[in-house]
Amino acid sequence: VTRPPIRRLVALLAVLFLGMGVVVARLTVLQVRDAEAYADIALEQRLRTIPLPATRGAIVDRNGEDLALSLDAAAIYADPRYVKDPVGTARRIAEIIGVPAKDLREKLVGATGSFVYLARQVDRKLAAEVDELEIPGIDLLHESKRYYPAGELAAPQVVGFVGLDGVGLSGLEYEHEDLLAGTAGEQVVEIDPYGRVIPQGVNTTSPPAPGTDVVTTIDKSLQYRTQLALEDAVRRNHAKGGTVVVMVPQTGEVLAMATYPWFDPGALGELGPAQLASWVRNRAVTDVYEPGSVNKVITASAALEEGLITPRETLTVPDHIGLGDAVFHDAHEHATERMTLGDVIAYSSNVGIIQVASRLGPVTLAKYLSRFGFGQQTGVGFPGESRGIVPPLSDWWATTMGTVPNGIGVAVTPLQMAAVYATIANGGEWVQPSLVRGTVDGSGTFTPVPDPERRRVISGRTATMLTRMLAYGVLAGTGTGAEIPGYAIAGKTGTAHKPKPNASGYFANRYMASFIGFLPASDPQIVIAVMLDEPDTIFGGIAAAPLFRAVARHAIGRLRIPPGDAVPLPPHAIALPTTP
Amino acid sequence: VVLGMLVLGLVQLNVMVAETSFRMDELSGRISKLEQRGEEHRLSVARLSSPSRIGREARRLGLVLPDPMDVVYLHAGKGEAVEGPASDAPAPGDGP
Repeated sequence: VTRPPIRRLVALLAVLFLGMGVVVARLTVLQVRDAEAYADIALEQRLRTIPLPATRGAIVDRNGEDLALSLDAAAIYADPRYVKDPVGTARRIAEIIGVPAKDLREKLVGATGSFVYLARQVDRKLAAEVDELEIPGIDLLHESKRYYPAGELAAPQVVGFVGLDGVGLSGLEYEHEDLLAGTAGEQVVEIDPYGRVIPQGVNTTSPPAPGTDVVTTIDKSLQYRTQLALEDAVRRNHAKGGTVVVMVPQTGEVLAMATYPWFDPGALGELGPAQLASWVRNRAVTDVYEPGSVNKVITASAALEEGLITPRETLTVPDHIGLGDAVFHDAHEHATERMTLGDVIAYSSNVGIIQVASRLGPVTLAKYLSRFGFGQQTGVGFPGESRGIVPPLSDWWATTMGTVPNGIGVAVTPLQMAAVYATIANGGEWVQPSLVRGTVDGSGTFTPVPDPERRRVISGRTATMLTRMLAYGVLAGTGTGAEIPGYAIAGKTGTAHKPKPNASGYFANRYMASFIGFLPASDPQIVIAVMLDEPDTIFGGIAAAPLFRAVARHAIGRLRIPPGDAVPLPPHAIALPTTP
Repeated sequence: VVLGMLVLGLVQLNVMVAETSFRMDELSGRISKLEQRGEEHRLSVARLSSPSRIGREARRLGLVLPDPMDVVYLHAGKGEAVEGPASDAPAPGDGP
């Protein structure tokens, strides 16, 4: 046996050592120098961040009944690059979620990128069935779906609605987005290759903060009956639409707020663009109208408060009066009559109130319009609230002292006008209207909203006298259509020509009919303002007063309003009608 | 032997931790499902108690709306009727 040459052995050993050295050097690089970077990459591959969306808060009525609430749902999406059979995939998913397969197929075939939504806000159970199909390229995303369980008869314009992404787009949904939305959280977990959580691995959770529930002032039952009554009145009077506001004078809380036509916030897709633009508006707050004769109470309040007229004083009132280059008429021809301020209000004499206004002068009248809240937002807390339109004093003409006292040439929201009557009902103190009572957080703690703003507008004595005049109007004047046997009701009718939009002048035969009042007159517990848009019955006393009565009757039952005491009539020069 | 026992104990402890973790995962999934079901029931209650649905059903049965002045509203709670207007009803979260 010949021994291998020593040189070859040494060479082999050297190669081995060199090889080992390379391995050790590489290992050192991997395990020491780059160890941290590789560990981070590995950890990143094992970590999964799971978004934890916050549950949107509910909107409830004053008694805790749900008006809007959210439930978990899922979005089904596709990465079209991995969907091998778009036709079959569309068919299988469509069968489960109940949409036309053609729609899904078009989305799958037409998509150009790596992501396309196939369906949004799908019920979780149906989405789980789709997930179980394990179709490559199809996956789910967590989201929530908003429900409006009472549909269109639960103040849809007040509550508002959310978009597909669950963000409030109108009404209280929009106004209180920050409260309702909550804050999303996330969970970071370490998973194995099969997607299971690794015990003792990374597992950190930032829990979501659920949205806060918003408790409205709305009474769902009264709202429902109010909407039924409004719809009935619109149909009976062949009106274009209508608005009703029901509020508590002492607190400013709005118990019902309805605008017809309305919509179902859960079926927005069924509305056309024109309907969507018009029907979703909460006209009680966002739209203005010329109030007509219901505005007479402001001139009467100012004159009494300033001591420029006494309730016993009688005026000589013809059926027309010239002012500047215009002649103003009463609604009906009549011989020159003796009238007290009570008669002027009760029988809604345009000429009589112009005579009273002439004692005030423009500056004082403008001051009282402002005190009663004209030209200013009420601060009710609703998006898009209008401040109304009051011409600046510099734009007042001689004829303005004939139009403004009669509610022409000024524009207010129905809520502003309801607040005027609430001021009288509340003994002369204006109270800021409100639509929200408070909030309920995740732990169930109720937090009331701050007390509403209050300001004294007229004295209690003036308010009491006006109440007597308004009650006289319902008993014997233009407001008899609002009478409810056994109850003393104070209220005023209003009939106003509609101004032409984007042009000067008024439509000859289009009117806004209104009635605003409160009950019981001796101890007012509720104010109701009703407006009908273009009723074919024209007059507030004929078109609107019966609607007021219908809503008032429901409110009496719902709120257990006692009849109260009789209210003494104000001094009057016109004899009461004799009862047959 | 002691070392062996300690190693076995450690293994057992790890197994228990793993089992507990899986169980926690399962329970948290169940809680989510039950919460979801609770919310679904809440929606059902709201839909069923909606005045418009009740009105529709009543009309289907041939019933008519009563005169509003004849209606007496009772507030359900603790098995007894509570007198007073709705505005006096406690707000959610006010009660015990």
